[in-house]
Amino acid sequence: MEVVLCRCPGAQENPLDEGRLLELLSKNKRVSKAVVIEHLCSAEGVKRLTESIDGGKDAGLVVAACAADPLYRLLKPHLETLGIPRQAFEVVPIRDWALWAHPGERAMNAANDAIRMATARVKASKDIGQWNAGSAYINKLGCDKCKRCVEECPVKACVLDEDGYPIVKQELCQRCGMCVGSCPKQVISLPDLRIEEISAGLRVLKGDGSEEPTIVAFCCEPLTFPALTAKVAQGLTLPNNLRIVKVSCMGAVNMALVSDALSSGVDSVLFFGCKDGPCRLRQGDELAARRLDNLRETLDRMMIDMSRVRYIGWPEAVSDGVAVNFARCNGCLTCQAVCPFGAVEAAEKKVAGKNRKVAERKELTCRSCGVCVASCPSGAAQPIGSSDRQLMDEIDAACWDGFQPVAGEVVVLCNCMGALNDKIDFSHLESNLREEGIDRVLLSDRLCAPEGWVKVREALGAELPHTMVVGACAEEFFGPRMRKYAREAGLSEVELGFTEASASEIFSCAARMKRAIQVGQESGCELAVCLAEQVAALKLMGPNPFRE
Amino acid sequence: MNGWRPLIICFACRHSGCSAADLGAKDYDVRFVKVACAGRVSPQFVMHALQRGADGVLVAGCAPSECHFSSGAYQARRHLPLLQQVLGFMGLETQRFAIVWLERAETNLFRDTVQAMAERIKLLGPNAVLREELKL
Repeated sequence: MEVVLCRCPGAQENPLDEGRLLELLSKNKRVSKAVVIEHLCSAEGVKRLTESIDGGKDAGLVVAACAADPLYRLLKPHLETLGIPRQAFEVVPIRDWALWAHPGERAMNAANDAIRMATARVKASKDIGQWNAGSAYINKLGCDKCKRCVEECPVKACVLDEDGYPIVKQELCQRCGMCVGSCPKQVISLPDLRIEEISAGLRVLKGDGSEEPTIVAFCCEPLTFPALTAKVAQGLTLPNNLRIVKVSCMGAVNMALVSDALSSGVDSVLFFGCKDGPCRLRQGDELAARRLDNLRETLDRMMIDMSRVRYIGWPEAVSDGVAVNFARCNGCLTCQAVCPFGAVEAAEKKVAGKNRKVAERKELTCRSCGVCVASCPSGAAQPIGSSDRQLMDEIDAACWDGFQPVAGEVVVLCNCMGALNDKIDFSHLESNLREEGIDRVLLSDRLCAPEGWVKVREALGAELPHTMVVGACAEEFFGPRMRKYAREAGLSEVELGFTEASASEIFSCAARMKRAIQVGQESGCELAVCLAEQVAALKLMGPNPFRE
Repeated sequence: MNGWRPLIICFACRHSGCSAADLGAKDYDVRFVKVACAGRVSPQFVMHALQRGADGVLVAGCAPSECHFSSGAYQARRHLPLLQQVLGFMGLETQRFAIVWLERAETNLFRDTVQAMAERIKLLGPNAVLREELKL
């Protein structure tokens, strides 16, 4: 097994002490080779990576870096050419989960632990041909035909074959892993979710040897993992020995894993799942709650206190829901037919003095995907925050050729210590932007660190712009962090718009922001005109006779 | 026609992961309007964009089996092709409107689709019918 540590040159804020980490890794028997490579996210870094690792079918690779998901996507095709199967490759986000989440010395332990868990997981991984299909795989040899998976699959993709064994319908399977969590024999696996792998990872978890309790937290991929990452990016410090395990859903956690972890010495197991029902994969939270209830008995037998296992509900902030204007709703209930989540309810409402049948939204179930809005014939339903009107405005802004950038329009581009030079031609981009009329283009380094923003603040001088377009990588990942640093550098007054570094995207982002401000001013002007007209009319009419 | 660059408005599903970064150096403009799901795109938006001067409209969504909202992309796949037929029925150029379903594994599909679309639009020329005759 090979371990690659990514070094970010110029990282001044809590940099990783690679020497110490390599020393710690040398004690790990599973690691055959550990190397440090600079800037894995650049083409040069990828080249060095492919040169330095041996590859081969039995090889495994653990990469410790930041921004795990984008990096995984970037590296995957290169590793396939080296013959490393995708199960035997993992990216550990040590920058966010160790360096940001744990201060000082503790970060080293967290990083080491995370890498150790990943190596154990990769070691336990298996490449099975069937998994290329991507759906759940049932090992019939261990199956006792209990039909639990058939019952609990939220999309009814598990069906019984002629012999009574469950099989998975490829075209229906949404890879949520509910069946993996349901199976009492633990014979169901997903390509990236195998009970054996996670359990192997949990067993090597050690903590830092102090009194602090070791905690395993299961985070779900759609909601709590990104939410927690964002919290950490904004400055949340995690408990000393909290270790994160990413799963597709709380319903995908097999209770055998919990009892395994507790019996191997972990102090507590936490479930970070969604709160009050809006599970994105359907029913995952209900299933987890029911299984945790059943787990009590097992734990009692093991003499383990149930309070060591806890489900922590995370309120979903993303979905604002869909507002329905009942005066417009004609009660056709097309929305009920198309809603993927069954969030539409027929209701009797008193509208304009008459009782009418209208379609109501269940707030907790609705996830504001907008499918019902696209099918609403009367325009009564509008998602909050992205109504038809707002989207039309956005289309107008995108098609708007009236946008004339004024002098001093500021665009900040991050070129990541020169690592992006081979991907983006910055001088070309800059001249393109100048052609469009944007004349202040600042080229900056490391906007993902405070120094970068301090430099931007210095370069801006005394007069701050109202809006600023930032072209940088991985917005969804670094966005909260960048906003935090910008605030700290004294740019809290400036409205930031993040976009990707291409001329037309930057231009349309600038146009969008400008137009939003212009629309605001226009409506303000209209209000002033209306008021002036009203005052003039009142003066003509004279005072109200009722006054006397 | 001098200096004309096709303007393509792309309604991109937030979860499909397609972005300007996938597109290389180019002689056309692609501007993104991010939506929650491809199912959110109503035919009205497409017409609006065409009337406001877009030379082409592209809807990029997730493959129906990978839709974040389970059946949103499926709904879109039912009603958007219908719009294509309506465009043809109205005597407009159907090639100005395209839909692409992206699977997470396919990285080049989006770029290829946009390029092919830009090529087609270059042959058609600027969007005159809707922009000038039926302008909002």
